[in-house]
Amino acid sequence: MFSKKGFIGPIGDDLPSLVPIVVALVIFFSIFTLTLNTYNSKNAFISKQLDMASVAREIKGDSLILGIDQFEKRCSSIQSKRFPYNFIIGIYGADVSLENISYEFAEIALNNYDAYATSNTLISQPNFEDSERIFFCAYNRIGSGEFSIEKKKYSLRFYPVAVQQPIRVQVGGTETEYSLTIPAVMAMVVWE
Amino acid sequence: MIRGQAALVDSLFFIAIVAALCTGLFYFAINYGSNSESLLYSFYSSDFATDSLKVMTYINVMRDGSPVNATNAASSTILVNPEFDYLLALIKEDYAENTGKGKEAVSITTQTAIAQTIYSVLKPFDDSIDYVFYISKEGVRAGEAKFLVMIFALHKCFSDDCTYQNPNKEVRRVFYACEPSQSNVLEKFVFSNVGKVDSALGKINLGSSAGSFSPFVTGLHLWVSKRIEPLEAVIETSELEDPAQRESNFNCKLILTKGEE
Repeated sequence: MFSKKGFIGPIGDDLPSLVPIVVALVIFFSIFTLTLNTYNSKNAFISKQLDMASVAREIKGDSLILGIDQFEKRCSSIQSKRFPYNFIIGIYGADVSLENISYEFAEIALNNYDAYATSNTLISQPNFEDSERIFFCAYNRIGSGEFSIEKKKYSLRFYPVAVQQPIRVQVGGTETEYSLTIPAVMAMVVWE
Repeated sequence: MIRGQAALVDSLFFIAIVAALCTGLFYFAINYGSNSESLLYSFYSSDFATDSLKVMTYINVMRDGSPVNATNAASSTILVNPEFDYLLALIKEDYAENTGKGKEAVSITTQTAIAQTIYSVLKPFDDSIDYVFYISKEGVRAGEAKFLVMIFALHKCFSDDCTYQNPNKEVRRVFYACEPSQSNVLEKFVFSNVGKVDSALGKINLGSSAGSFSPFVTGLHLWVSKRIEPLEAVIETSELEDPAQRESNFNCKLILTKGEE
């Protein structure tokens, strides 16, 4: 008969070999989870950047915006497509400092997206009869949070654009309406 | 005892395999998407340069070269007897009038208008970038002059102490109109010194008064602004009156200064 001296039990006997196995499994699953999270977050980031670029391209067209009607039409076309992210787009004159754009967007979001009442730096376009309209477009998905700079999970991009503005010109005592193309910057922020 | 040792060696083999797998996964996690990310950023920055070049060709300027001051065209804004036009129209007019008459193909007024226009298009980013805009002939042999217009926009320090330790140093945006005699000056003196350059190129046709049309290339190259002494030296030496000292052959002259007085 075999001697049972030193025998602890079926598991107890293999205890020294079980420790490295458990450690290896813990390390493996930790790294696996980390990799999976990184993979998902990077995919989400890339997808957000691509969507952002495609929306920006759709709004700015060939870097020329032929007035507020065209801008609003492009904006509502994107809004109706149920874009997967929230965004705010505003067009500013080229003489405006863009340092505090994120804060301005956050203030507009806080003010129920009433950009007209909140901002005085966005480009506006008069139609000479009614009130002015401003170059501003926002989309906030139902159930998603408001834009906040504290979250720091947003992407901000700037695109140079030319904007056509109607202007009244007085030549020899007669007033005529002309179009003037001016340089501007389209600022866009996207968040989840 | 032997059975226990065998189990221990097995588990050590197992941990070695897991370590190799973990290293692979970790490497994958660190590197995944970095190429796509850098590609996305480079798309954005090259898009930015292309947009800037397009905007330059679209916008109106006053006929005297100054920018149109009507950002917010309110209903009360009325321009009295204005004379505005497209920047491109000014360039085309100059070329048609001056070619073959021994004058500069593009007048200094129009060159200043180009500088003003680039400045107003890129003003929101003025602190962080430097750039060069040019119009060049197509199909020029090496060593031959090919630039119709070349505008350099750099930051220049006007203080005695221009080191990083001096936070109050006076830095202004300066524009140089250059007439390099060689075709490869940008590659040789600029692109090799400034780091990553975002470029946009376009094509235009310019017609002479004789009725012939020639193809030209418009180029805008942007880079992150930094103090690069070799580049400054190249531009500065080209300002010297003694041609023997103009090693770079940029032949620049200062046409515009912007910033705090």
